[in-house]
Amino acid sequence: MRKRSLLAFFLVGLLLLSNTLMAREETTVEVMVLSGVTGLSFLPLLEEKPVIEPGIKINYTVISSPDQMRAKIISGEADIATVPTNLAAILYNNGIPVQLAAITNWGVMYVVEQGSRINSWTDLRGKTIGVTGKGSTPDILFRYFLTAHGLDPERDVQIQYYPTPVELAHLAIAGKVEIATLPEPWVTEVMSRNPGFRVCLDYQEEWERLEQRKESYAQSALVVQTALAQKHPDFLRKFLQQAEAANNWVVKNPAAAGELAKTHIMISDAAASAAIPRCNLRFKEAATVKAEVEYYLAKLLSFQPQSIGGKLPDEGFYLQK
Amino acid sequence: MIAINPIEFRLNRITKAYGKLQVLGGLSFEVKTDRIVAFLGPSGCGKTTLLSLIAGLKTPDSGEILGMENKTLSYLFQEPRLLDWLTVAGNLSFVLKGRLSGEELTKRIDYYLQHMEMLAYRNVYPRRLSGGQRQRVAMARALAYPSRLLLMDEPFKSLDLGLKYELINRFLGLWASEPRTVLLVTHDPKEALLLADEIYVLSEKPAQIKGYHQISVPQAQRQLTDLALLQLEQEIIRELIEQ
Amino acid sequence: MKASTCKNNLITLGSLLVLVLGWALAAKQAGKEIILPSPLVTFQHLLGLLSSAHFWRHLSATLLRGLTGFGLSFFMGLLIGLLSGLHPPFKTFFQPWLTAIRSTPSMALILLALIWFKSNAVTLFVTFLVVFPIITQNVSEGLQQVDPQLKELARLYQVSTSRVIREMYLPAILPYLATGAAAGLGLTWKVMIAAEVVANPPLGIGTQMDLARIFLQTAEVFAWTIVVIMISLFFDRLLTSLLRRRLFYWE
Repeated sequence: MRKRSLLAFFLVGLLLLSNTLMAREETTVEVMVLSGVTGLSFLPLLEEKPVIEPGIKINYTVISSPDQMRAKIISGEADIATVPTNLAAILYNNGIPVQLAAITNWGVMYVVEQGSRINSWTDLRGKTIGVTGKGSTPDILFRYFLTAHGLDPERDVQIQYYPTPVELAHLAIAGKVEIATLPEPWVTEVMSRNPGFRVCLDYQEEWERLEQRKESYAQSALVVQTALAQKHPDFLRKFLQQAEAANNWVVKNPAAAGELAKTHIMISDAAASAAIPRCNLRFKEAATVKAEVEYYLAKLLSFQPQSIGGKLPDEGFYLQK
Repeated sequence: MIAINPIEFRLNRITKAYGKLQVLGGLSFEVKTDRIVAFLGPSGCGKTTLLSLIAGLKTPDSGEILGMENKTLSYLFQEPRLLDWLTVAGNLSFVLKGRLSGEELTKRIDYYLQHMEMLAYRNVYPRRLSGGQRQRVAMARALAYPSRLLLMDEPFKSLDLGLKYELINRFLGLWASEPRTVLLVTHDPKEALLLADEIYVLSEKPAQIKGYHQISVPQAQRQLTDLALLQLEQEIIRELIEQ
Repeated sequence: MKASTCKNNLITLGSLLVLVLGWALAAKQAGKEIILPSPLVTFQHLLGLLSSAHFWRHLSATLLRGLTGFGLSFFMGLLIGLLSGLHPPFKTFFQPWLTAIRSTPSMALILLALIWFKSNAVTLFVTFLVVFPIITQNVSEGLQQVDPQLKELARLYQVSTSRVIREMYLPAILPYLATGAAAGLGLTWKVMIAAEVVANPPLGIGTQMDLARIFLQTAEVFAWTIVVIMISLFFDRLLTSLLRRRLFYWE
């Protein structure tokens, strides 16, 4: 009898010991995604939170403002994050130890209008347009396209900036803004809740027309802290695989993804499901699309050098496989 | 020779109280035009209140004041009450601009300043003047102002003896050339004796008239050492002490 | 007299030198330019700013709006202050409004104005609201301090109301007005820039500061900050010299 209780005691002790040993080894990885398209592509992961590697706990956070995201990356709070691609370049060029791991989605920007007076970029002359993401892709490309059509962004139009697409979308729905630049899925959301709106201009079309390229512009990126890539390369490899799988799943299952969208990123399920086909979701690891990314960044560099941090990021920017 | 002057104004049974404190307990008298009338009394007996009522700054609780409607008056206070940011001449024109202008204004200012021997200081700011000089400017202002009545509330109180008598002389000089009815409130019998045609001695609160005296000697001929004046002074002091 | 001002100037210079040295050391500690740029880099950016054309456009836009806002505050403050001082019922009437405005944090005002107005108007509106109570308060207090004996004098000598205001009240409140104006002007620039950062008018220093922040150009943010400090100092000196000559000349 005593032998058995001793054995039981010993086994429990071993269990506890192994548990504490494992606990000491457990690392937490903070993954932060922006609400909006990048959030969309991560929905399955947000919902299921699969264990990718034992001993590594993953925390997912949805952030609504690119400003906040930027702060979290600089402070090191975010280990893996989605950001506009140009912001990734700025961070890298300014010595923040992050690298580009993948592009999560390509161009998804549109200009919507309450009415039907705008049929070409030149029709924007003299109008007031709500733009989100000052200093990031939607803003820079918008001004680039205006210039390409002979309009001076500072004199010929009135640009009113809003910190995040969420606010601009709500104002559009309320009818307080007449013309706005918005990404999907917000475009569909706005049009479904305020039928007066329609898509009048398409960034992607314009990019293709002006740049004569097959691939759209690399809008959103997934970055990782270099420290993480060095300490847990296996984990990272598996994570990227999971992210790609999640991305593909969302594209193939828009209805189910829509349901998840309602819970995690607060976009109505109907709008999300409808928007997904237009979201240009294509997960591509950085090393494979380096040329496209460089082309896009070079374009931004030529138009507004500060938008990518003053220079093209070097080789080290792109995470090697 | 005493001229028979018409009545300037009259007070009938004036009373005034501040809360429970009865300050004036039924005063009646009349003042004739161009006479200098002095009100003598212990400090705090309500003399200033009396002047305020006559000036229209306050209203009596009962009784009536007749003849003060539409009368312009000048006021000379115990403190000079000059505006620090205006020059001496500026202080005079501050009150005079409403009544005079242009050359007439300048001439009148200069005339009165000269007679107060302050003309040299016409462009000086009050902060640079002594107390006595400031009171001279205030007096020039009060006299320059074309008024029917001049009310003076202990104007010589804060001056030392030498300055006091100097100022009294200057005042009498100007008053003689441009007579007007003058009410003088003071606690100093000597001032009253030098200046007044009539003297009312007032009691403590509630103030009532305790004594009345007339002086027929013209001011210019009075000396403090005159026997008659000295005797009158004794009488007045006795009245003042017996409260 | 000369020796002591010379000494004071040396001390000021020394103090500034210590400040810059401390800054340089801290920058070196921080390492990255986007966290804390060194004085040298900041200065380079400043020179770059001063030589660019768009700098002057943004500067003049902010200056124009700032001075307009301040000017409005000044005149409205003077008016309401005078009214309040001359008629106590007015003062009682305005008191709760002024208290409410003064207690509201500037940022709250900016955010609310953002909902109601367009960006340019937001900056003007907020600047006006923040500075106006200061002027009013100062004028009101100055009027209260006017010697009641002088007021009585003016009444007895039947001086007209307009002249009492012009020749008695205005000079009397001048020192208070000057203090209020100096405080208000300093605050104008602070609030104006904050409002510009949030409201983002097309032209403005705050807008440019915000843009620099978004692009992580911290050195540029510092450079703009120095510009604003210079503006504030410049106008403060201007105000002081204008008023010193007219103030207390009678002492």
